[in-house]
Amino acid sequence: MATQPPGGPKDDTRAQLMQMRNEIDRVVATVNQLVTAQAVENVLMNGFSDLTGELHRHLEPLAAQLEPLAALAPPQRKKMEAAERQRLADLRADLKRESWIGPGTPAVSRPGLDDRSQLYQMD
Amino acid sequence: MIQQLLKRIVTKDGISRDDAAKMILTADPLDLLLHMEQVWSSATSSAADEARSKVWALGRFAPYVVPNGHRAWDHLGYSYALENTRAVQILRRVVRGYRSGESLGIPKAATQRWLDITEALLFGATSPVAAWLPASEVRRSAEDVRRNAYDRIFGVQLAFGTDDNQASTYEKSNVTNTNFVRLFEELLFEVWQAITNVKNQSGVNSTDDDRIFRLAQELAFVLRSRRLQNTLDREELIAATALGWTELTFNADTPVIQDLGVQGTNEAARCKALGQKVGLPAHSKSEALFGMAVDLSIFLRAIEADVVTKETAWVLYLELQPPGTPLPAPDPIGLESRRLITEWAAATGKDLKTRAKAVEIARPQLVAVK
Repeated sequence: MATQPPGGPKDDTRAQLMQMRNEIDRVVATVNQLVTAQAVENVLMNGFSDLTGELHRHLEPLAAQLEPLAALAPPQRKKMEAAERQRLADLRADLKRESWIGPGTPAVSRPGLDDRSQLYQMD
Repeated sequence: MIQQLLKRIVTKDGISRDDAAKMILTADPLDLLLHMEQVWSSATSSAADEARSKVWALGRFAPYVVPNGHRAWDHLGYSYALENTRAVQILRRVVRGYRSGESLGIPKAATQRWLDITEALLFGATSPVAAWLPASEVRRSAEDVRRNAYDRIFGVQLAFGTDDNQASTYEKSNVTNTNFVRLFEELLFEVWQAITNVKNQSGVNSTDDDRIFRLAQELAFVLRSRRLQNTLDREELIAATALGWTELTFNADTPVIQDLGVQGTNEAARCKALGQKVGLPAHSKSEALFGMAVDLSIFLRAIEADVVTKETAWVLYLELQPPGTPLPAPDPIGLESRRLITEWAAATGKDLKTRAKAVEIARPQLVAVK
């Protein structure tokens, strides 16, 4: 099997790949450095409020663009007035009750009441 | 009225519901009638004359008084749903069988007491207040009075005729709410749309609070238009008392159910079995009718009570108040609405969860007037 002579096409490709990887690593390191330094510096110099303001300035146009979509948002539900709450509470007090599931209905555990015919014996 | 009395007894005396039910089932019919008048007096206030108030206070159930101004009885819709099971006519046959001979056997003492109360509450045997009897020479039977009320308020009739299968000849009114069912079902459809979207935070939300409010408002107008000056309130109370007693009878293996040897695991099953026994079949959808009665009552009362406003249409479909509502906060009626939609669809065979007819977008435009 013939061997590839030094300086052939395969070595060239490898060298190019190495170079590209180095460049990418350098760019990533620079970006990280810049971002971290800027963020820390900003916070140290201006505090969080300015940072938030900066953020808001960038987000305002975005919010304006999203405004038409507000109609698709879940409806905002206003709380009931005290009088309305009272009417609803009265209504519930007057009408709401648990169904009486009396003897003879299964799935109701009634220890001591196995002989249910005794329940309605008149005195 | 009967079921509410049971609840008040449990709350005030701290006894079990079985014991409270036993207290009612074995009561003197006069005590129950006096309590019904007491509830009426509390609701209307104007009728609380001195002599009458003293008479009402003689009853066994007088301590379980209702606060003034409270209508502590079910809406007429409750009575309509339960009466459609044909339970009242079935009980009529039971009473006739026991009172006219021994075709149903010899009733035990508890069953005889039940017969006394049933005749008093359902079939107008006695009343301490003659002027307020549910029926008279003009209004022939209590059932006809109820049929008339259903027709006027809901624009509907019962699903059957008399107990001998003849057409009912109740007095027809010249005014009825013929558009009630249309409005009601449209509202249930919109409420269902809202229920399905309660937890929807991202997709298209088809909840239309304004439409729910408008339908509820129109329904309230329709219902109130038949109730001006408290018209039909008295009939509603009498119907709720009669049907409340009917429901209580089927809630358990009560004395009459035991005496007749009827087997059933719930109200509808007992009603059907008893119907077979006396030769009068109950409504095939009795399960749904029994299941919706209480929820229909609460739903319609909420509509009439101005609980639903433009900003609070959610009261019909949420199960909890919005966060931040001051306590104590009563629960909205979302649970009741959901159950009502399910049972109404089962009873009527209409699928309320889909629109029956799609909106026509290719509809011809209006022709210009020439």
